[in-house]
Amino acid sequence: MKPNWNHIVGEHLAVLRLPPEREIEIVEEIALHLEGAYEDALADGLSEAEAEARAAQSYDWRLLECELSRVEIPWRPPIVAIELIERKGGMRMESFIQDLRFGVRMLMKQPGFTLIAALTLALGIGANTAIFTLLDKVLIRPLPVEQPHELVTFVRDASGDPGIYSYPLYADLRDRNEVLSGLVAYFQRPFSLSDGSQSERVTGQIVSGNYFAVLGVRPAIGRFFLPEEDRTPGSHPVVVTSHGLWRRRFAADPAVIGKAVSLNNYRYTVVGVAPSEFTGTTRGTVNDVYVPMMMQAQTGPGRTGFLGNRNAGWLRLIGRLKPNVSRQQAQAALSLLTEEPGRASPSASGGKDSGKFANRIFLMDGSRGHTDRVSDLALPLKLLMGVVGFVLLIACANVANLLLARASARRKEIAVRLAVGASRWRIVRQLLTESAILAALGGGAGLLVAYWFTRLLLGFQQQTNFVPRAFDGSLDGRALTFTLGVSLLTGIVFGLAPALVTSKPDFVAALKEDTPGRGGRMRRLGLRNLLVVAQVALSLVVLIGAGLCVKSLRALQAVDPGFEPAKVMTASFDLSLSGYDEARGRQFLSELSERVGRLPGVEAVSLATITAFSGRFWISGATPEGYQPQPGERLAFDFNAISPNYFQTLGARLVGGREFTAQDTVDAPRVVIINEAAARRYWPGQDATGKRIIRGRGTEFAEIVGVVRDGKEKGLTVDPRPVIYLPLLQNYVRDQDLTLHVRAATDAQTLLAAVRREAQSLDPQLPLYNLGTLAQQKDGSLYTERLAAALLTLFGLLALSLAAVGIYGVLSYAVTERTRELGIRLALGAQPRSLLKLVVGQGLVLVLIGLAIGVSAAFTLTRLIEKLLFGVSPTDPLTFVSISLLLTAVALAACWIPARRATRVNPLVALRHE
Amino acid sequence: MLDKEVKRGSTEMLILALVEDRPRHGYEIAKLIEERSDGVLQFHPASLYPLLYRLEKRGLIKGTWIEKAGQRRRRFYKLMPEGKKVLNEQRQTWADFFAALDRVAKINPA
Repeated sequence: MKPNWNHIVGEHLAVLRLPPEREIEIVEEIALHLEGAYEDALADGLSEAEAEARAAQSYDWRLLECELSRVEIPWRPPIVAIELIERKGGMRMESFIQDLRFGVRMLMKQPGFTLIAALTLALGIGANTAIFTLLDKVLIRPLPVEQPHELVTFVRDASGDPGIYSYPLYADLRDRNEVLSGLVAYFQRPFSLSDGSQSERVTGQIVSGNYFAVLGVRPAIGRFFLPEEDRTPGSHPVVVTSHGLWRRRFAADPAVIGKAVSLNNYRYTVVGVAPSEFTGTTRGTVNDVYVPMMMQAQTGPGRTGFLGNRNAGWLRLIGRLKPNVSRQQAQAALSLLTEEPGRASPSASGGKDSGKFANRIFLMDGSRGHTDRVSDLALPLKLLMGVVGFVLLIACANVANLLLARASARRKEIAVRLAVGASRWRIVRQLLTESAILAALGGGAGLLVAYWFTRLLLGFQQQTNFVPRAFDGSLDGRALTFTLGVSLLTGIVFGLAPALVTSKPDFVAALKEDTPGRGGRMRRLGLRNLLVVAQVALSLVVLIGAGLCVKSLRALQAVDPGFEPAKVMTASFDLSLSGYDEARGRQFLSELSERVGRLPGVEAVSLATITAFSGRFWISGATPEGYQPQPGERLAFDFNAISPNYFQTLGARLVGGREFTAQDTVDAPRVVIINEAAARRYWPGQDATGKRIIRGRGTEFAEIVGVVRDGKEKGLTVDPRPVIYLPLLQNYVRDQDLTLHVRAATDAQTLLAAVRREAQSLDPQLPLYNLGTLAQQKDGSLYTERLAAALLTLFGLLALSLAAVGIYGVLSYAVTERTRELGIRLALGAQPRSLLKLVVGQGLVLVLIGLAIGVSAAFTLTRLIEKLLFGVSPTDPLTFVSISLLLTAVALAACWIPARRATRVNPLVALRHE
Repeated sequence: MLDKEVKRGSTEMLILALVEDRPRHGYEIAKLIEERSDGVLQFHPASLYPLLYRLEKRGLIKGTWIEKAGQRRRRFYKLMPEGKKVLNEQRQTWADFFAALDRVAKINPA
């Protein structure tokens, strides 16, 4: 048998560790040589064995190895591999894969570095993804409908507050316009939903029959409304449920179609389920039921006649522009329609300024639906987005620093590659690929961090029932795309500068000398120092922002609301939705108050239509007796209807007169209580008790029997306005919910279960909601402020620790680089103290430059959040100074550790140190 | 038999000379050296290939894998312009050397 020369030669050459392709060539060539010798030997008449022996003996393997090792460069796997690929030509896929493989190998070689860098990035990217998701779901993302950019919302003015229109006007606009391909109307309201077993309060929309068709939404199962269901009032009790409700309440059972449910005590048939992503057309609300417009009268008592009433404005409108019609054209054409004689103007709630915007139609981009509910969140969310952007920049700076430190360690490798002919671009590409891999790792881990952050945000949102339910806490495709984009971008941001610096051709000097050239080192350190300065500046800005928000929150929490929220428990219910008439309602209210009042630990019980911090208003007109209004002055008051003992329950103080009592009934003379603000305004310097007012356009006087201290029930930042309290007994509220207020002797929270039990023993079908304490309501009203303060603090601390790690890293590196110098200094008799000063001083200079830049940046940037601040100036000196000191202290600590290491340098070791 | 030193110094020139008129592969070069010197010059193959690679690195020769029908591919080395220059220089040096030897020791290489 013929010997396998390739194998024989290959075995002998293995020790040389040649680059694989080169080795194959050499093996083949030498094997051919041996084969030639072998065949010649055979031709000479030798036997196979003899021929093999002669050929093999002719070769001196030791000599070959020795000679070859002088000629051939041994395999540095990555380097040579890359040069080979490059010779094959440019930037092909295989070269990219090669980069990738090499990158992964390099990162795996230094797991510690990789871990720290990826974690740092993960924190930055995760925070960005979470806040982006929140921002996206609340503000940015268009409605999940067909061609959302064709939609327009009908608003009052540029502020985006929705206009309110009557049904007849809506029908006119819908049928007579030539600029819209469709126009929908809807009204959002609460419903009491019951399927026979238990009842639940949900939010829903009464919608025009064309609602889903014009929006272009397709049902998940079943169907949406038919044309005949939009014709005759009261004829078709059908309902479409949300996907969420279907899953929650009906276990996603397709058999829900055709099932009967009760909404506000009226029976409906479920005909369809909306798709999961569709939650209605008002941003920040999640609707669970959709009822056709023709069922409007059945949705609650006292709601008849709305469909025919031109003066009742209640509907919100969204239109879809015809192709090639601009918003301005549509606006003009629609305004013309409303100006036609005989068409009444749209009217605002209360009709107070219907004259002002009559006949005016203002259209806004409707791709996101009506956004009035979330407009308050826009500023804080954008602010947070900016802050997490800063945090990500700091993280990038940190990783860039790590890369630079590592680049120094790799300078020899890079120098070799440059020397054997790799282009600078080639090296940059390789380094950027490594950065991209790091960024991808960071992005992957960032998703986990984002998941955690969103849980946190969700928990925060769930603490309060005050906030728009815009955020479901899930990370979807858009979040993933965002994360991917941000990761790639960060990969370039933190990778580019180090890559460019590292691949400088003068790096070749590193080949000759093992220590870097002085100029090169200074430059690299220069860039690293720059990064530290930037980190300090960025984190200072974030921290000052956090400090201001925390201080503002403290100030808000310290505001005396004029009553004692922590001691008051609330529970809301809506009798009108459960089919109570006035007699039964009154009966229920008095029984409930009595039963709860008998519970142990209850000091007082009262009812009210408007709850403190609920964000709800009841504004109406009233005229104090004998008061002559100025021309144009509107006599508007905040109203609230309350039962006896309300102020005692809240712990609010009467400054004069008395509370309402059980004797202030329908048969007794009309009475009211006002607050100090009202007294001051209309009876300045007088005692208001005993004076009289007339409500609205009525003629009946009501006597003021008490004056209560001003409270901050409309919000801690809102200055008290004139309020009129009506006795609930004289003013039974038919179509509004009521809130039971219970004053606890100790902890209001402990009463929740007992109060719920009492209410359910009276009516097991009545849904209770807003169960909690007024303190929780108060916290809820501070949602934006708390969110901003909490997240800014979190991100500020994150920024601070990243910056501290950055400073530590740079100084540690500097100390290592200067070990020899420090050793010589010590050997020459320098005191450790002076070395300490030397190193700490180096760090401190950077920190101080960063502080100076950061303070001036913060001076400009904090003005942006002025609107969010309460009781603290955006340039609050105390905050600026204390945060700067905090940062300096942390930075000093970060300097201290490497500095102490410097003083412990052993001169002997240092002098031998390379 | 020639002295080791002389042999080593001359091998470069031998190889360059052998690929001067046409490209040849390694085994052919080794055989030719042995044949044309009637076995006086025996080129140890273990140093032949490293030498070829060294010459190639210096740009004096260039090896190319060539496949001929029905045969395995072989690496053929051809002389590069730079190699031609070096070869001529070396020839001149050796010629001068032999001329000097002749003048002094009366040997005639021809």
